[in-house]
Amino acid sequence: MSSIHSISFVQHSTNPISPRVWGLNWNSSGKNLVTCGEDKSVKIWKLNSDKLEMIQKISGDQTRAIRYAHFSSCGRFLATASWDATVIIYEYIGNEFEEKHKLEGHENEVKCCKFSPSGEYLATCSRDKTVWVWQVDEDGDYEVLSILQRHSGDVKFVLWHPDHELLLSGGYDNALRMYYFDGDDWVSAQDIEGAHGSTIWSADFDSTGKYLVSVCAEHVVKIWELTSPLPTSSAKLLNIATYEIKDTVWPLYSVSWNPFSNLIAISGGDHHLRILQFNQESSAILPFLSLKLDAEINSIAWNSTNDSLLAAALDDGTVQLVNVNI
Amino acid sequence: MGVERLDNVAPVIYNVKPRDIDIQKSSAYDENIDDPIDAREVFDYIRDINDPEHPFYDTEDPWVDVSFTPTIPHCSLATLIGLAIKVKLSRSLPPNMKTVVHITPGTHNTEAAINKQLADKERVAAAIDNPSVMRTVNQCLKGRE
Repeated sequence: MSSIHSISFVQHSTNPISPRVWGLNWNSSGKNLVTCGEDKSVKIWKLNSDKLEMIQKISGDQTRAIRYAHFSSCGRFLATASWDATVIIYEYIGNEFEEKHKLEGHENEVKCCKFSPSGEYLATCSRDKTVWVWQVDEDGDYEVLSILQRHSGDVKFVLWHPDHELLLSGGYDNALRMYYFDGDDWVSAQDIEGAHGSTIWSADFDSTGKYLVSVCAEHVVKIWELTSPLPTSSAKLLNIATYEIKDTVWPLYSVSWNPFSNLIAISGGDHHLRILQFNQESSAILPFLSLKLDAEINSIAWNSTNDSLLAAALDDGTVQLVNVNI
Repeated sequence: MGVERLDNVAPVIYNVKPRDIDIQKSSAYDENIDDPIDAREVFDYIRDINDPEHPFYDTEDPWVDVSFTPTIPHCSLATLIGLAIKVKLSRSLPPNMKTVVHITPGTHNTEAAINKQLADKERVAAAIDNPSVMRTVNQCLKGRE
């Protein structure tokens, strides 16, 4: 019998004025979670059976809300994107993360930051409508490689392909944009204007990188197939399935594709965490399970190694762990 | 909370009297009229407290929908006015109550763009987080002397 239920929660923020948790992310071993939010702090948690224990709190380094935090795939580095227009890179030294670099250059709020799977690049995006690709050299120093200015509105997220050197971005201009590396520079591979009818808040690849899922403010979920990804210059996304959540009027803010299955978790303004199933043969998206939490859910992520565990970041300051039994 | 541990499994639910709006109308904002705190006013403050054992849930959470009409169809301050309405409502309503603020259809040249911005939680949060924007918003909300 399939089921979904909350198993535990922790308080990221106890600040009553600005409790909102904006982002979260598991490291690749699935043992650590990072959370960040409106209280300008970053917290690192250890997963102990079905509970989270805080192991480090970082605050005072960035002066406005911290929108997103991302572990590098090796787990040694952590990047945090803040509305104060900076990105900070932390390195795990001894037994905690220490500030290593502060990356400046965006004009205003940075909304997302992601290390590429190889660790060679870091992508950042901002309300200034740009996507920046930073190159990381052997000494761990960062240099701006490309500034991509194709969006006409703020860029809500960046996303790397799991295998190929492809970068994706989406946001307020309702467009999805894909880039590849031509040897010198990151350049456009595809622009999908009107990919959704409203702001695209988030997207995620399945573990094979063959499919992409995207969600938008008008509560529509779309699946895209990545065709001819090699050479990367010919990569194209093709919309193969569309599903509208009919029983809500609120935006979908986050999507996470289960790393081991065809289950897709989505969440948003109506407090619901929904699990959808993607059927490859029929290219159909089917509703599977649903759970209502106590507040708006800004970010969700499946655990990297446990296929039935999800973490959710809420407006009320809590981070919830949810068990999904298939 | 398990059902077996409830103190009162089947509470009696009383009908809720409507809020007495008239009480506030004439006297509430006039400092020349004596307005002692009475039983009704005290009740109004606490009437919405939930019984933690039996929180009263609607199937869909209620939200507040406000439309406003700018004075002219090219009003450059419409976004700021919309933001001021959102801020005022968020300060006045219970923290979980959502608000939708939009332009009365057909009354502004760029109503779709303004509505989109006012509906974007992140843009609104970033504006509220910006001291110079909030100085202007608070100025708007001060009311007339």
